[in-house]
Amino acid sequence: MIELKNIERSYKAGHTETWVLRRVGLTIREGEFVTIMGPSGAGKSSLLNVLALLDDGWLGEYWFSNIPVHSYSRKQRADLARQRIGMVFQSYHLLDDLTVAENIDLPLSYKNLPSKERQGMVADILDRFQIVAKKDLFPSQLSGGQQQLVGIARAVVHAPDLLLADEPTGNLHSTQAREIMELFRQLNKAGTTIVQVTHSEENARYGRRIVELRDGWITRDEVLDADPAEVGSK
Amino acid sequence: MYSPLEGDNWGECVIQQGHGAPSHNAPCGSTWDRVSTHFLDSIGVPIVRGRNFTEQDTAATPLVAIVNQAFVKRFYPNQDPIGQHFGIDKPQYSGSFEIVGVFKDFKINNPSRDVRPVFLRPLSQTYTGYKEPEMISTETQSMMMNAMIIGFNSPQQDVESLIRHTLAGIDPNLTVNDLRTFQAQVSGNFNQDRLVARLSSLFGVLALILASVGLYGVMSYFVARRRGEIGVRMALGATRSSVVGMVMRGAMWQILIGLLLGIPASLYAGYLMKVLLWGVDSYDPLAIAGAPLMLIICAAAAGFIPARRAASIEPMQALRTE
Repeated sequence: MIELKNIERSYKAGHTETWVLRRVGLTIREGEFVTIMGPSGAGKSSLLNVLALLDDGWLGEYWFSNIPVHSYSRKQRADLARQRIGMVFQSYHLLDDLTVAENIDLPLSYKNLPSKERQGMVADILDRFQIVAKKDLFPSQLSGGQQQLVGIARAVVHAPDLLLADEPTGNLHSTQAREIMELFRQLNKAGTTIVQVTHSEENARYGRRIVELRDGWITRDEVLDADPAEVGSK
Repeated sequence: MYSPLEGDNWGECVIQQGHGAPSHNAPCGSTWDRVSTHFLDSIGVPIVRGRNFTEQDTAATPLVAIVNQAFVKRFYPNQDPIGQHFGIDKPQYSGSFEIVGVFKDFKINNPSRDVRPVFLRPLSQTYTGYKEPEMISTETQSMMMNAMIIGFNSPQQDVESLIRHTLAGIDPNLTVNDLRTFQAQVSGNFNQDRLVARLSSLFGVLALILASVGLYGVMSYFVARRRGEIGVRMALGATRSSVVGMVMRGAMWQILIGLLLGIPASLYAGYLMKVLLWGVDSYDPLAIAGAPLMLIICAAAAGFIPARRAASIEPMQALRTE
């Protein structure tokens, strides 16, 4: 589904150039649950931003379902991301003056869908995530776990092929974190390809594969033996 | 006596022949002037009924007068004024002058007021029937020519020197106190209005600049405060044009509120300053449509700059900041 070849990313500050990704090559198959790990500053979030097409400053080749993203214009990349990629953020990034339902509807509003169809999709997601009762509440009225739940709902409402999660449980306590990771497992089981960035070894075990970054280089790419269904019992 | 819009004029109470003395409050006043044969031609005022003064109107012929349309409207509203007689101040003089012509209304004294009734008498004729010393004195003084309007068939070099030299040749004791073009004299009546108009324009431009700068500041602050939100929206699929549209909608709301408050206020202000306007109605469609349009254009430009800045936000950086 995703193939990265010699992806490089650097930032220039004056006369200094800092490399955050160095000749990254990565293949992610459809339906995989990949965890990207590494120390702070390793380039994890940078890699995730490249995958999410939020970053245009990289070099190399990026193939998304055989689409040469590297030869796409900014607008084309944005269109592709809007259609096929969902993103979950560590800080949820819900809009405070929109209700839960409106937050979930936000990505749909940029897809030129009929209003009724959008309403139906939002209703389905609210039901699926069992947050119908909270649809008219504002983010400030929700707990951290509930907000992240809404963030995930927003990310998957348009049924993306790829779900990216940047430290999705970083601001949650352990019980909430387990609930969220269990939700990711269910989504992956249903067919969604998931790539998460995390520092948590426990969260990493929900995935099937760990890619480790250090100083912008991939230093480890390991398929886990354990079945994610067993993670919850550990 | 006095040229038009010189700033002075004479007025008398007009009594129509066969009428008694007017009552105390009766509107009998009329401006009058004593002029030469070609006076109306020199200032471009046409005769609309009857005739102008001619060389045949002399001291030996019946005393004649020409009147303006306002004079006819006040004193002969439903009559043909040609051939009618009138006089001034006292009933016994009510048959002094015969109306031989009617000229088109023009502002002879105060341009800001409605046209007054005006009658003109020729310089070549004097009424000798007055008995009262003050009336005789007035008639005599009215023969003194205070102003002269000179027209040339072709442009002249050094007009002032030519005129002074010519008048000195007629009478060396003639003193020229003031020499100016008729256009300058007319224009001088509007100096204050022109100043007010220019100041108003200046204040209008300043207000427009302030409004635009203010709106720019507000929208810039709006964009800065919502930088994170804009980053989230762009990360969730908002295009740059939709971000510009979102910011511009905010600007347009403010413009709309401003127009809803400003247009009625400007209409009321136009009503209040109606008396200061020349040649334009206080509800001039061009002004009423043009001013808001200009404001919309300037405000839209002021809002577009921060909108473009919002659209250039890198979602990644905005999210990191938030």
